[in-house]
Parts: sequence; C-alpha cells; structure tokens
Amino acid sequence: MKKLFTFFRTLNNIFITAILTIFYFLIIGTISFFYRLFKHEDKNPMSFWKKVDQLKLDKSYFNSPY
Amino acid sequence: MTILGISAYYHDSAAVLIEDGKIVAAIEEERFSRIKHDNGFPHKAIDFCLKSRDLEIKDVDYVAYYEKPLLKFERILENFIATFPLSLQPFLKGMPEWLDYKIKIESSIRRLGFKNKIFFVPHHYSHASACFLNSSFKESAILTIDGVGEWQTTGLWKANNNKITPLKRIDFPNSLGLLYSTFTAHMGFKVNEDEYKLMGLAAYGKPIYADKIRSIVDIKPDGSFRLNLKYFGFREGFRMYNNRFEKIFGKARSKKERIVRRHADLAASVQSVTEDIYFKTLNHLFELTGSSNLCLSGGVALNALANGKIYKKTPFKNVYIFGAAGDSGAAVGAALYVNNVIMKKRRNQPQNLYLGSKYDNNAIEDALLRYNLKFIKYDSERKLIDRAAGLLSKGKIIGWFQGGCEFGPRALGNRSILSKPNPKSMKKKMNIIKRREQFRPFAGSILQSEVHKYFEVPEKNHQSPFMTFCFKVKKDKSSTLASIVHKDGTCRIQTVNHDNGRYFNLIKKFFELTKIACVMNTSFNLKGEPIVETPDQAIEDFLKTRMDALVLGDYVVIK
Ligand SMILES: [Fe+2]
Repeated sequence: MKKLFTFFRTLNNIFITAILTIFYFLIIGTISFFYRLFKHEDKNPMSFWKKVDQLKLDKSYFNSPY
Repeated sequence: MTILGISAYYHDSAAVLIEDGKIVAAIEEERFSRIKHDNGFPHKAIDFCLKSRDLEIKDVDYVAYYEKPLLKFERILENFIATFPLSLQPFLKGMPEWLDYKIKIESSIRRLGFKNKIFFVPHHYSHASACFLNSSFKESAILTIDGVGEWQTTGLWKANNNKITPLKRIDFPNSLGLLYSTFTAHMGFKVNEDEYKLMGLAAYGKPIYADKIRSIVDIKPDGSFRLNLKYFGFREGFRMYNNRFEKIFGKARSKKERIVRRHADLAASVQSVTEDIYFKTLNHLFELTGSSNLCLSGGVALNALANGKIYKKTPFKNVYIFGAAGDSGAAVGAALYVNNVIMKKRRNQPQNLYLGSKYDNNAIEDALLRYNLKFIKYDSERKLIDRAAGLLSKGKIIGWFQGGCEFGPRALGNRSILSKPNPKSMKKKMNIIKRREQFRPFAGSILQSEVHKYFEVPEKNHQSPFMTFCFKVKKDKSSTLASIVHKDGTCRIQTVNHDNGRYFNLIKKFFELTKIACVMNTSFNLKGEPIVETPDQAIEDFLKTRMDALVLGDYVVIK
C-alpha cells in the first residue's frame, strides 16, 4: 500500500514538473522575449529613488490581496 | 476592537493580538514548532494569542495580514520572466508552493473559521507602522529597510499622529538586505538567519574590499543605490552570488572551513558599505522631513553596529527601533495600521515585548518534579533575587526564566542565560554553553540610570530597551565589562528600568553586591534552537550544558 502511494506521488510530481516546464518555456519564454524588447532602464540617473504616488488609499485597497 | 495580526510564508511567521489598540499577546510560531525561523502558517501562535485572552476566532473583529500576497506573486512571476531561461529550477520549486498555499492565504485564514474582514497591509506599510505606532513620537521620519517585501526593499516616510505618508522607495532587486545576505551566504552562513554573525565578524577585519563592493553597487550621494546584477545569483537561482562574484571576492567559504583574515576583511567591508548607504539614506531622509525623530524598521534595522553610529553620523536626535524590527514584528505593524490608521483609533503608549507565553508556579514545579530535580522555592521575591544575584556575583552562569517570553529575536531578561560581565574568560565559557563560534560577542543588560557611566551613549540615562544599538564602552570600564566588550570596543546593550520588573530587581541587587550595573545576557537556547518557551525546554538545556544554576519563576535549581 505504502509503495503504491509513493509510486502515485512520484508520478504526480513528474506530471506537475512536466506541465510546469512546458509552461515555463512556452509562456514565460514568450513573454520574456517581449519583456526584454520593451523594458528600458534609465542608464545613469542622478538618483535611484522612486517617487511614490500620493494617492489617497481607501479601505477597499487594504481589503484586496493585490 | 480586537485585531489579529499575522505574518507568514517568508521567515519568522508570527501572530499578534491587539485589543483596543494595546498589544496583549504576540509570539513567533518557532517558539512552539521548535523550527528556527519557522515560515509556515502560524496556527499555534494564533491559538496561543486567542487562548491567552479566552477568545475564539469569532470574537476577532479584523485580521490584518502583513503583506499583499498577490503583489508579491506578481514580483515572483516578473522575476521569472526577466531571468528566463536561467530561472527554471527556482520556477519548478517555487510555483507548486505558491499555487498550493502561498497565494491562498485568504482561504487559510477563513479555514480558521474567521468570517469578518481581512486587511492586507503592504509589507513596508506594516514595517513603518510597527516602529512609528509603537513609538512615543507624535511626528517622525521613518526608514523601512529589509531584504524585500512585495516589491519594495527600502522606504522613506514621514508620519504624524495617525498618518503615515510614503515619500520615496527603492524596489527589488535593488536591496541592501539582499546585498548583506549575499555576503552572509558567501561566508558560509545561513541567509535570513546568520547576518548578525557577519556583523560580529566585521570587528576583526579591515574594510579593504569596500572599493571592490562599490564597483558592483552604484551608490548615489542621496543613499539610493543599484546593484550590478551581473554579480548576483539571487534572482535566477538558489545561490545568492555567482561565479563572477567569486572572481572578485574569492571562493566562497564552506560551512566547516576555518575563518581566516580574508573572511573578517570581507565582513568589515560589507559592513562599511552598508553603513555608507545607511547614513547617506538617513541624511537624505532628514533633508526631506526635517524631523529630529527617527523610526527604523525592517531586517536591516537589526544591524545594531550601524544603529549605534546614527547619533554621530546623522542629525537625528531621537531614534526608536522596534525590538521586533524583522518580519515577525510586521504582524504587529499590520494590526496597528488597521487600528490606528484605517480605523483611526487613538494610539497607545509604547509597550515592552514580554508578550508571549507565561507559566505559573504549578506548571514550573510539575516540570521540576518530572525531571527529579532538587529545587528550592522562594516565597519572597527579595530572597529569590538575593540568591540569584549572589550566584551571579560569584561568577556562576544562570539560566533565567521568568514571566512572558519575549517577542522578537532578542532575549530581554525573561528567557536569558546570564553571567557577570567579567573576567574575559566568561565569554569563552558562555560560548561553550551556547555551542557557538568564539568570535561572536555577547550583549549586556545595564541599569538605565547608570548607562552613561559605562557606554558612550548620546545622553544621560539613554534608553535602549530592545538591544538594537551597539555603543562604545568607556575606556575605564573595558576591564569591568571584559567579557562583553567586542574587538572594536563596542557592546550591544539593553537598558533596564522598572518596566522590566524582576529582571530590573536582579541587576539592581547585582549592582549592590559588585558595584557593576551590568550583566552579560544571552538568549536561553542552544545553537540551532529557537529560544526556550516552556519550563521543560529550559530544564533540558540546563541539564545538557555547564550552566551552574537555573532560576525558573520562584524556583532555584543548583547543579
Ligand atoms: Fe520585511
């Protein structure tokens, strides 16, 4: 019984790894191509501080996990 | 109003309970699970917080979580995209964890039976609140600085009463915390755990590699900085540094390799660059806010060596660092943010950190009987203190277990191992008991009324209750404090006053007996263990080591 359980768990892990690998190369890889195409960094700014938007954050902002 | 604050899934998971603005219970999960820096969901810590007030989860009005999990997930995903195809391994390891539970924090909280509102307070807001809302300042500048939250790694803020306003920020991957951790890993120490070892080692070296570090970190005069990512591995792999980094700074030390001069010089160099960024940032913050009060929070704010120099290197006059400046304390910050900022409730007075589990005399006596130990019970506190202080004055090392356990990484005299601060050999003895490296220094607990006579503190009776500052020991006291003076002449200190109860009485009596107002204080745990939580754990450690005596509540055991 224990052996069978280990077998299915291993099989499950291999399946998940395979799906994730495909996702990584197909989806992440494609997005990465466009990401590099459009992402530009300011070469040498005077400061690396980013200004923060002075938005008034309402209660619903804090209820969201995003 | 009752608010439950939670931090989880990074390191130092914790729970905190706030009733009408007052912190009534707070504890890290590691104290119960016995897994150091446990990062799981803090079931046991939550349970403790509720039980300590005879509450059930339905009695809680709000839950405050210490970060925005989906925003963090966005950063993780964007990082995989930016580092494709090098990040396959971390992607395969990290994604199942994220999809399985990390992203579903709301369900984990709901599974507790909680039906009311959940607030997700951004991570650096939680850090900013943890320090400012616990301080006595009406207005203050705030610096939050850690490894990384969702995106943010550094934040400049100003605060006034119940209002905390962000001014500027630096985001991942540019992080002072991660820079320090990279050198921690390169030194063969554990990331997010052993950074203070690197800080201790720095005193033995010279900062001869500082310019080399500056060649891979672009530092601006206003303290902002950018890491040259070519030399770091933390974005795409499990190693913090890469081969290019090793080409500059030499081969990484393996865990068992002897520590040599080069390692100490590297530690001194990264400490020096860290301080350079720290003080430039703080001076910039002062220019922005004009406040003479400063609150500091986030893991980097636990760098006591840098903190001790703030008074000399910046114009700030009053500095407050919350004792639990790391991520466990962010749970407190999240809960206070909901209470004071979102719900606009009045701020409470600053509190001590003895917020964890307590054991009464019955529980202690039961434990002593279980271990068949001979003990003496003292009916009066005066007699108990006389006995314990007497032992300390004779050079005995005692385990000291009293009241509620401390919240945060430091033992502040309720779960401590104590001794006389001299002669120098006491340090060696204590390091053997603790089974830790000889280069590591010990802290001292000193009567607040005497602190200026022993240390170069900014003012008379200076208050530093949480061991978050190192100060220079005065020359004429260096032999009195021989076992706690570090190689660079500094010592991390905890000032003790009436608020520390029995611990204050102990040091006061020790002062009467020896004319020394300070004791050596280290956390009650052995290498690799969290601080002891129960009397049984304290007894186990006492029996395993060469401690001379154990004082548990009103009971004394002599070996
Ligand atoms: Fe943090």
